[in-house]
Amino acid sequence: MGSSGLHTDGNGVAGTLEEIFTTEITVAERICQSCGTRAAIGAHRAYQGAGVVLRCPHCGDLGARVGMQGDHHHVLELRGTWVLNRSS
Amino acid sequence: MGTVTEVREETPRARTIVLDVPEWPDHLAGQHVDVRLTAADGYQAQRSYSIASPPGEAGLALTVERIDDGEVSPYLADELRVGDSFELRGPIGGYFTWQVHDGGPLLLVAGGSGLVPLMAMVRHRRREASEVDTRLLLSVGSWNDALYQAELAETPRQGVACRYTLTRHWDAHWAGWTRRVDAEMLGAVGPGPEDRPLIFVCGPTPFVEHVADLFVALGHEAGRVRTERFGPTGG
Repeated sequence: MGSSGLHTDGNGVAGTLEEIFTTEITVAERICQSCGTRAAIGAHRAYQGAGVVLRCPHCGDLGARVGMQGDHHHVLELRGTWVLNRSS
Repeated sequence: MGTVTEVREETPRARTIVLDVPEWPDHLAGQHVDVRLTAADGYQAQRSYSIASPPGEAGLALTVERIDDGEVSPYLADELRVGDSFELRGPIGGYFTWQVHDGGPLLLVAGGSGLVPLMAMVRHRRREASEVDTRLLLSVGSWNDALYQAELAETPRQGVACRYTLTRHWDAHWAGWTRRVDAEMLGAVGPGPEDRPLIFVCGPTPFVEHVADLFVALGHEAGRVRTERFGPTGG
């Protein structure tokens, strides 16, 4: 994956992710199934179109795909290992 | 819903909107809100805007830069008047935030209006009378684009070292940097990797990626470099 200007990052989609997870999720971390990089969700690349795609900030491999069908129905595909820490 | 209580012109292209938001749960420096505008025909457009005001201050301040072909920013930056209200959701985010107890040294690098969330951190630091070593580097096209000039001129007295680089236009009197951010500039701003500063970089995506790469190449720990990118379809 090149680093084009066509993406933002997990911070920019934090509102959408919070709707789905019902908690602040950008401080959670994800371990990439492809390159092993451990990075905060906020640091992931985010691509927005009809839905949201998150990619590993290091290798660009798919981390999450979020589809939105109306305001309250989401379809979610998660890849890699997600590490959620309640105390943080 | 937020109701506009004050509008301040910041630059020819940006203004600050101060809002009264009933039952605002307060926020952390660096967080943002999602603003949703609904047209008469039901069409909705949503954008994220960083909060410029520090936690605990009455009035939630957003600084909005106009993007000419944007869907939301022309309304916020040109048309909105005191007394108007609009729908907003927040505070949002947690990764790109700083609190006084997170410590420092603090190294803040902004491209253009990427300064807004970093300004909330500077204001938070001042409000809490923190003495954390803080350095701020601003990259802007021209002096006219630089936000919060008068306020930042006062920060050296509060222990915040603030430096500028102008990348497009400058006049003969300008004594500061006139180039893209590079490794030499970051070295001059400091602190170096041996001091393990907490680094926050915010701006357009290419700027943020360039600066974050420089920091890592200089030997800073990737885990202490936090980034927030603006989208190409902003506005």
